[in-house]
Amino acid sequence: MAMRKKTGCSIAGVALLVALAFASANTSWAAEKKYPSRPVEIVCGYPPGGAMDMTMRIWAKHLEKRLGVSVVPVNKPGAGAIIACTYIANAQPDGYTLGSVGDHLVINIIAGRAKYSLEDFRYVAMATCIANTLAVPADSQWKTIQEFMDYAKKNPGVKYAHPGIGSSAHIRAENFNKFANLKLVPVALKGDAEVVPAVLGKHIPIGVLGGAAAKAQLQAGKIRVLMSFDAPSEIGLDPKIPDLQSVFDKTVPDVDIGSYLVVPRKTPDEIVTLLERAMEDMTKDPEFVNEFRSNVMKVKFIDGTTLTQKILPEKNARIEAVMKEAGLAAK
Amino acid sequence: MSTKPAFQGAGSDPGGSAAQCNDGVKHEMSAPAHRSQIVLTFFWIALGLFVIILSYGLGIGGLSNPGPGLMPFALGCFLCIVSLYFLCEIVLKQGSRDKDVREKKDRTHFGKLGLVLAALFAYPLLLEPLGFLITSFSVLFVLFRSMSNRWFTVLLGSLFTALISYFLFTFLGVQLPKGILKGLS
Amino acid sequence: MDVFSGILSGFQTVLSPMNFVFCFGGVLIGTLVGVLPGIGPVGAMSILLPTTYGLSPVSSIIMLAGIFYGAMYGGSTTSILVNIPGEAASVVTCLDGYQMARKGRAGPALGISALGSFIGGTFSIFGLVFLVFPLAETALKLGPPEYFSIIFMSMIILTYMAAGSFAKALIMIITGLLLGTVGIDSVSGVARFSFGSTSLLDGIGLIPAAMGLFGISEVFTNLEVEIKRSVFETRIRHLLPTVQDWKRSIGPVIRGSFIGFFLGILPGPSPVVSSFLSYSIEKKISKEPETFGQGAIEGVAGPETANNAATGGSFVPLLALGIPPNVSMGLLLGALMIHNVIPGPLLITQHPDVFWGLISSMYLGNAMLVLLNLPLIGIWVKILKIPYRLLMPLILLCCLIGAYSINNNVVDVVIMILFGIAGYILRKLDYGLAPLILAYVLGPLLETHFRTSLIMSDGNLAIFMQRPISCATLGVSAILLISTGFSYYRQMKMKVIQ
Repeated sequence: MAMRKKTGCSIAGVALLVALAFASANTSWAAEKKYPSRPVEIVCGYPPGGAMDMTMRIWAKHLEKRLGVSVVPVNKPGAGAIIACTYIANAQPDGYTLGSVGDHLVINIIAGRAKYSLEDFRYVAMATCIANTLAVPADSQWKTIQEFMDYAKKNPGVKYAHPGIGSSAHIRAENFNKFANLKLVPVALKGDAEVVPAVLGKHIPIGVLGGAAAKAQLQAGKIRVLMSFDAPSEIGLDPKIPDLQSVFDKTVPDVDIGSYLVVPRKTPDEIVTLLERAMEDMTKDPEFVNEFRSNVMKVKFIDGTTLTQKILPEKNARIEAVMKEAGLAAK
Repeated sequence: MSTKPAFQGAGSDPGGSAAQCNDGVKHEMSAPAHRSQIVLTFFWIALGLFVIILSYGLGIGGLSNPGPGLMPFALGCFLCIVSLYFLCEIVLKQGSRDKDVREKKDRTHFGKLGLVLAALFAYPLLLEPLGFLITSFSVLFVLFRSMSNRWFTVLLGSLFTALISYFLFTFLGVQLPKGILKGLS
Repeated sequence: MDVFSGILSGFQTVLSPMNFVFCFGGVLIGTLVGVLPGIGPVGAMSILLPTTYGLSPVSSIIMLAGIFYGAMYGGSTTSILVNIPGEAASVVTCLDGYQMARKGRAGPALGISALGSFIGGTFSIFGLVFLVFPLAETALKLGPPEYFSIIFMSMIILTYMAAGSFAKALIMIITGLLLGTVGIDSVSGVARFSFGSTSLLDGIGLIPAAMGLFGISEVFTNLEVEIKRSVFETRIRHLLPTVQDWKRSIGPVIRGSFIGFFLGILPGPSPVVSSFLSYSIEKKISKEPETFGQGAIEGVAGPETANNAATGGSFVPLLALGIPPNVSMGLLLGALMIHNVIPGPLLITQHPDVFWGLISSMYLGNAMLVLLNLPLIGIWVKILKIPYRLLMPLILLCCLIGAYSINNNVVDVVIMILFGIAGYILRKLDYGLAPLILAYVLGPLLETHFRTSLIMSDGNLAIFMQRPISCATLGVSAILLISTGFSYYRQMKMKVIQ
């Protein structure tokens, strides 16, 4: 009886070892094949259903066609995308872990909470942007953005609602606040889901809404969009709505919130180039553009080199300035 | 106490204290249970002080301009006050020997508890480096083995369960880490 | 399109064979998801999301929503069977449901839970259909000051559910409130008590904490006892609720439906809050409050009805304003947007087929779930007969994976285990756990709404009294507080006299 037990045990043990050896050998085999040869993971720092998640999923769907392997969306929500960014920064630089991130990557660093730094990442490309608008209830006293700005200057301390501290809406609004010298007071809420009722119910006179929420409410005639941060035609809104550039005659730079594909810093150049070309191709696909337009987001491709050398340093500096002024930066 | 079914462990109530504590009659506790109550109360006091100190550093602000530290600070103060009051309450009521089975702790089974606890803690530590299959298999093996003496059955059972759960959970949308088995997809 | 023709056309769409299959499939997957603790419907929904790209919007919604409802129904199963709350809204069911199971009455508990859920769900669907727009208008009148007052009033009502030593319950409430402060403060952006851990920046997860506090601690307690004895009484008495059970449950079910539906309109974790409120109210008005916590069926019937009714209520902001009440609904919205259906106030007029199809699918889903769950009771009850030495590792594995699956983060698993140890110690020392969880859920809401209101009013505390709804609610709270104070005072007097 005991003998049988022992043999049984040892056979099982050997079988297990063989399986493990096979598995680890397989891993090294895979590395020698051409990229991509197995499914790729794309990570997003937000829970399913929101704009960032939809961005990741639509990218995944289109990248699949171009990479020829399945691209698996993975949500790693938490801590304002810090968890996801940390995960990407520490991932194997073999091109099988991609990140779909926004400027939160930088915002967290400036706020002093991130355990990673900019050097841990390599930006492959920017493909899309999230739209934000300034909206008031349809029967509000302000009919144009100019009226609002005049009122705010005469009555400092007007409250505005935004979806969360450090959110793109918040940063853009604070940027606007600073340049127009409006002395607005931010009221932090949790997501568009709370901003919309706050504005519609007139608890807070004006709010920063995401594109999709704004469009829905606008169509129903419940709100009036005083200003769109992006050019309205690019996101499917009425072109008569002024955008930030037209309000300030192009003198005030916007902090536009892009969605970028990032990989760990040490990822080999050939893989990065391959991904970059896939992204560029993707943004030219009319189906892709359509899907983003129906989600009220902007499609705009910027390649990795331009991003890293020209656009990002300047934008990150601006974000830092806005955050410092709003008291959000780490001391 | 006699209304409780016999197999309930000492004080094992699901979510609310047993109703018999609410009858206004003085509670009698055995000496070791009494001591544990006092120890825990000291823990609450210490926790309250800890919170007070930390939250002060966060900035309290005032009632009309609350800072992030205001609520924790107030809570810490309340905790200290209530625990001190409770401490007095317990200490002043002398404990006496209880006729119940309560203080008869089955010491031998703490070993099993410890083993299970160790296995449980091992799981999150090993899950991402080693992957779902290996970690689940190992932990299941330890858990099953702690309850039963049959090596081979336990081995097969753990393997089988780990595999089935892998497919079940993946089907239900859970993203299970592959760990060192990353090569196989 | 008026209501009746809308419902009719909705049913027509939904009852097409394809959609029927989708609904059933979704509901089946959802039940499985719901039964496994910690795993939410969102994972399964997001896996199936790509397959809906090719379907019509109505079919996609039907399938995805089916998963969501199924998960709602399934969540209470583990609460009753093994004291593990599968989701936040099932925590209360642990209190009496598990005790019923230990006494061999798991069948009636599961049955009343399913039927109560069905009634609550149906009630809320009807409420939804007829009252969507008036309710949405009313809901808009509520802002942060009103949210604060309503939750404050709820807290007072919820103190009724505490049992045992007053000081202990108070300590549990304070600790729960403190646990709720961990994480990034949403008003100021400052990190509190996170000790440098990134994972704690979001706070301590409610589900891992609840799973640990109730489920894992129960496993530890059972391990301490001799294993040979069975944890559950093997003689299963009935499989379905008896007439007596029904008589006792009718009141709670009716009250739970109202409580759940109207509370569901408020933003935030309304299913959780309404289940707690229902329990608390039932205990308060019961003629035998001491049976609560020992297996009172009212403690299962009321909360289960309330949390399903709240889900229906939470559809009000979704359908009227396009605002998703939780992550699962957010995903559903995402699915709609891929099909170019933008949910918003115009959903009814622009896409009546989607709106009415959604409503009818809710009803169909609810009906299917009752039909599915009642026969399942027999199977679940058999599971209880599995020897504990086999059951325990399986339970633990499910909890471990479930906790991990919430955020794909092992820290949640560690939190669960730590809370398991804490729960074990607390239970041994006779501390009630329900006040802890409930304070943990409500605390952050109270604080956030309080501070947001003060920002709105530039620091003027009078804002709570200046707004009519808030003022009235606070008035009621004051009356409740005074009356509780009186009865406590009288109790103390009796004790002294004795």
